[in-house]
Amino acid sequence: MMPDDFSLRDLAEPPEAAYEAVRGRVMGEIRRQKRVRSALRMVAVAAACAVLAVAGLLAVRHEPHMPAVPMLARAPVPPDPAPVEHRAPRSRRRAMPMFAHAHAPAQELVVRMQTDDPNVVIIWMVD
Amino acid sequence: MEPSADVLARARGGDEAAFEELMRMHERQVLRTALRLLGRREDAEDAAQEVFLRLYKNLRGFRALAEIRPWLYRVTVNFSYDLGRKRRRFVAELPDEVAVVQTQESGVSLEQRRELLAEALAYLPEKERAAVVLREVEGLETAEVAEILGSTPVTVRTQVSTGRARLREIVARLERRKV
Repeated sequence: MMPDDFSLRDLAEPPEAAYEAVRGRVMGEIRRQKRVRSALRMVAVAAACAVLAVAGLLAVRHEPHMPAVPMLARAPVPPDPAPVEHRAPRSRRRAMPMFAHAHAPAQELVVRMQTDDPNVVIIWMVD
Repeated sequence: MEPSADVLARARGGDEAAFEELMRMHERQVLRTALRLLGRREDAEDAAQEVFLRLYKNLRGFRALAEIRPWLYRVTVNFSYDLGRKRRRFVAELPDEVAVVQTQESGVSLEQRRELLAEALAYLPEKERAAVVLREVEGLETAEVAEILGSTPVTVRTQVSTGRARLREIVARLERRKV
């Protein structure tokens, strides 16, 4: 037999099932890669949040305490001042105990992040 | 406007259905070429899967639908070379003529001839096989084949001619083994 007896184009075609199998495998792999990319994005965001939170906590802890200034002498009480023009009261910020939480017992910060995949939940715990 | 005219744009935008449509448009050329080059359906499916995943990753590089076809041929041929070498399926040794398998019939049927020819392709050197498959099986022009294989039309003509002659010899030898 010679190959010229029939065209090489008459060689058997792959069955339809083969095309379907390839399509299914490719689409499955693409969806899997998308899920992985999405989860990685979430992890990156969570990591960035965690880094910022830790950096914030550390910055607060290392803030030096201001020493209390001893009162040496009581200043003389000035005479009643002349009446001054009444001005609208300025908004005063409420005194906040700036470093109070630095001495509070360390609390665990837990961040739960949902991903597109219901089976994947990212949990960050920061001491 | 053809319904598939904007399929590339939609696929590039992340539309999975559009990418699946793109695959349907090109799956025959990819799987058939891989099957002729590799000889085994399992290998051809693996190659086609990898080729389409590479297409998905490189979608942004295409501006027109017409650019995809030659690119797919090139990637299919190159990946089939790699896979064939990895799985040691390229350039099989010709069967020993003494190992004769007797058949009930005196001749070979058309179906057997097809099988013999498909088998014979596996004995061609990989470059000749690629040239023969693209030119003779896929029916591409010599210039197209040359571009896909990174070769010249003259070289392709020589490879096809040599490949066909070699195929005749191999098929005759395989036929003697069968009859």
